[in-house]
Amino acid sequence: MHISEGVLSPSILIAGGAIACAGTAIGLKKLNYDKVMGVSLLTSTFFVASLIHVPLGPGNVHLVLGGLMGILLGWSCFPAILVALFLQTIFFQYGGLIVLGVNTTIMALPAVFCFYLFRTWFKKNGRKRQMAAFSCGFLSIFLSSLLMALALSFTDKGFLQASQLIIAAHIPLMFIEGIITMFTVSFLAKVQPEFLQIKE
Amino acid sequence: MRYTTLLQLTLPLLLIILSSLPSNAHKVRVFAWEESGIIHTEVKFSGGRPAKNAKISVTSAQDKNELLTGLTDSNGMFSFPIPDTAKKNHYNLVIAVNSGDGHKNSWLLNAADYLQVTKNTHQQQPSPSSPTSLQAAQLAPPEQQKSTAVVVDGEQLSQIIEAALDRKLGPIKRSLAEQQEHKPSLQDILGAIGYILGLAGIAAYFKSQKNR
Repeated sequence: MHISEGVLSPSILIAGGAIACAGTAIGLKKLNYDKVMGVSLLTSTFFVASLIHVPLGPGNVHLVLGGLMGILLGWSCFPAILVALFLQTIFFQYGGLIVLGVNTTIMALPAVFCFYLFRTWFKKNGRKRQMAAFSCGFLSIFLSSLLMALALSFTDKGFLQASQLIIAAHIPLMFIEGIITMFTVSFLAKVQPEFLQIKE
Repeated sequence: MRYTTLLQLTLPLLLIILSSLPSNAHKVRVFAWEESGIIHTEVKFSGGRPAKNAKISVTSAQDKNELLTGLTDSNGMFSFPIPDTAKKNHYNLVIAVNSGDGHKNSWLLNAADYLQVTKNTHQQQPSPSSPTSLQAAQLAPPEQQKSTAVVVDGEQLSQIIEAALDRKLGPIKRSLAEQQEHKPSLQDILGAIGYILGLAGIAAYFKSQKNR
């Protein structure tokens, strides 16, 4: 999910950077005092989780937990993902500082989208919430791969080829993320329902 | 109270994740080394899986000319003889790899790292008899040994040694190249989590100022 430095064209870099900036600004604005620690915990989880390699599929995939972050953080997943990616960039040279905006957008935008799409379902109990959680994890990865393919399509390969390659590589991850998100959400719903923002 | 339960939830999760760390994959890495006139390039994802069918392009660092391109095989390897123009002009080679899914990296192979040895191996190739003459020298009686020793001596002997060293040092060069990759260590990860918590502290401070 990390696009390397020097692959993308400047217009994409600027567009990604602008979206990431706007998202981070909204996220920071929506962040209230009570949520700060929660956001930082999920940032750490994201940071560590995306270091695990899932040895499935033709490419190299790793957990993103975009769906989970979307559900739990809403717009605040933008600053969370930005910080985690920034640290990964300077510590491990994953991605790069110039493509940071694009990488953040690729992972955070689908998460926010899923948050709005499935938010109402989360207020309902039982099976419906579980399904929503699974779809959230699944869809966020799918949309992330789509965004990544879109970003790459303006470079050497066409959109169709790039998207086929990337989506095929991430299909196993979509299911894994869906299942992980489902279990985490149902566990949180039992143990810590406030954190799910279930009650208004 | 709310966050203590959350902490209880997150900490085991983090620990499980940390314990399964050694495999990870984020970027593609490439390293190249020279072994008797052929440059070997190995492309791997950072988890150690070979990158198959990754596109490799070799350019000169000086004038950015593309010398050759190729695809890696199923082991993530790509080997090519040193291009003549590179030999002639003492190019530093930039070996760039693009795995097609947004991962890109490059490796700089300095002219000094591959040129000196090839010069020797090229000189050595027309005279394959040199090792045998050395053997002959060992087997020969002492009087003859003196005369053959003179033949083997000097230039040729240094060539033999360099060829042998080259052969032996090949794998070492490779593993040295491999080790230039900085893998995420536990310290890095814990340090990063510290940074995240610190940032959270800063955010909490500003938010609490606003609340007042």
